[in-house]
Amino acid sequence: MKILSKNGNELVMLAMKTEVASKGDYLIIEDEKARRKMVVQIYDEEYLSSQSLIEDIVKDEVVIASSTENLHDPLNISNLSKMIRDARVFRVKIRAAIDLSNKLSNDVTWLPSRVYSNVRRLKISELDLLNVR
Amino acid sequence: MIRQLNLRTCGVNPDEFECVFERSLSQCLSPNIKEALKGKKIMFTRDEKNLLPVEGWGIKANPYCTTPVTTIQPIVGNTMVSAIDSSTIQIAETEEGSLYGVKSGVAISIGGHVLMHFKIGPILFYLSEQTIRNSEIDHRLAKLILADSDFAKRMIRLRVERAIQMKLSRRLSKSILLVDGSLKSSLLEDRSQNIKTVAENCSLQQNSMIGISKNTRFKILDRISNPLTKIRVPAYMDVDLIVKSLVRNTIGNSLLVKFSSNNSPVLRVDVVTPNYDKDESLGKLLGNDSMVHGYPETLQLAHHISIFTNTEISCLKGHVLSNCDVIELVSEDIRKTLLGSIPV
Repeated sequence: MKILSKNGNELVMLAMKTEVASKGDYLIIEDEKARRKMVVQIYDEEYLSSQSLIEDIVKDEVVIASSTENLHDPLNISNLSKMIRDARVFRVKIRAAIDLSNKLSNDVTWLPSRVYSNVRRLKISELDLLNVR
Repeated sequence: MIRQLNLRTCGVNPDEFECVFERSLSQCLSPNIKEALKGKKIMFTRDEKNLLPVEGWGIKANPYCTTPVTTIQPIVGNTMVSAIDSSTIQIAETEEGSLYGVKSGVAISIGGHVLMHFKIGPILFYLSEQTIRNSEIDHRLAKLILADSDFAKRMIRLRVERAIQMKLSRRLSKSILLVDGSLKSSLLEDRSQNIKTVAENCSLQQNSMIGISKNTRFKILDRISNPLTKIRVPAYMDVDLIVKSLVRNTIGNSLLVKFSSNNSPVLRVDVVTPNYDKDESLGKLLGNDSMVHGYPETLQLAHHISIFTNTEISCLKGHVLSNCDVIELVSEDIRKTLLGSIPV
């Protein structure tokens, strides 16, 4: 997953189809360069959408409906294209940060890097551990 | 006023510009536009697109009104119609050359129904002095395509299309090969895979090859198409003499054709037929391909599947970045930088 944008207390994250997460799940964003962590919670899931992407999907559907398709795609671009069409965005709320001593903190005034951040799902058991500390 | 005063103090009189303008243009244009345009039929241009008047230019503008109109009778049967189209885009530039992407589409129909289509590509071509040195491209042509990306794109598209046409013209028999654009030989073609060889293959296999142009550079053809715009059935006019007098490298028979009834457009069509029977070839095309707004559905489909989508372009760039060990440079739109953010 990658961070796309921030608006107030919310972040928009880009995810591929294989990166499974659901509404209510917690995610941890680890900024490798700044050595800081942020805990966010998914509250909505949408398709990555743009006007040209929708136009491409409609055009392809019309073409496929009109005749049988045969592909010769040596660079496998159509698969990449399908991945983009199936990409989704997660809208998440910033819930907390994790300080250097691995404790939950409410210092969420910093911005994680879009380039150097790793995002992964946070298990409830991990969250419980953080709460105990 | 202030500006005028300032110019005058610089020794420049704005009225002089008008004189200079008049002198420079009056050599080729009528200075009296009102008089020159009086009573003329006029059609305004839009974004330099090729437009045609819906009802034609009228009989007054038609000096070749004696060219006969022949109606086309659809011949329904099992003739296969294969339409080919392709497109090329420039993906990237390096210090030494340019990277291009090409996509082709082949659509096949029988009995008025499109059966299947083939999407070929996208495929990448990198043209640089080094890659061209290893190819069989003539060195003068190589210089041209390295200097001008439009030529390079045209050459790639043409050669890819010819390769597909060669294959189809050999494999199919008693079929129709539909080509987007006129049937003319080009310096950009490969010697062994040119339009004449495709035409020869077609003759051997008893295929017809039909090139359909969506627009023509020859304004005279627009002017003489009036009888066809008025007719309510599919028909054609033979304009072979006119086209051959204007351009040498065309092959086949040049016609103006209206494929559907009513307000469908009149198109320039070049036909190569095995037995010189253009009526039969056009009839078979009408009977075995459906016409959408007076244009063959297969050719329309081939066009749509050969066009690059924005997603594909992004994917191609991503493919190059992740597979070709390249270093991406930040770029800027020089025109936007110089002229500002107002669209120009």
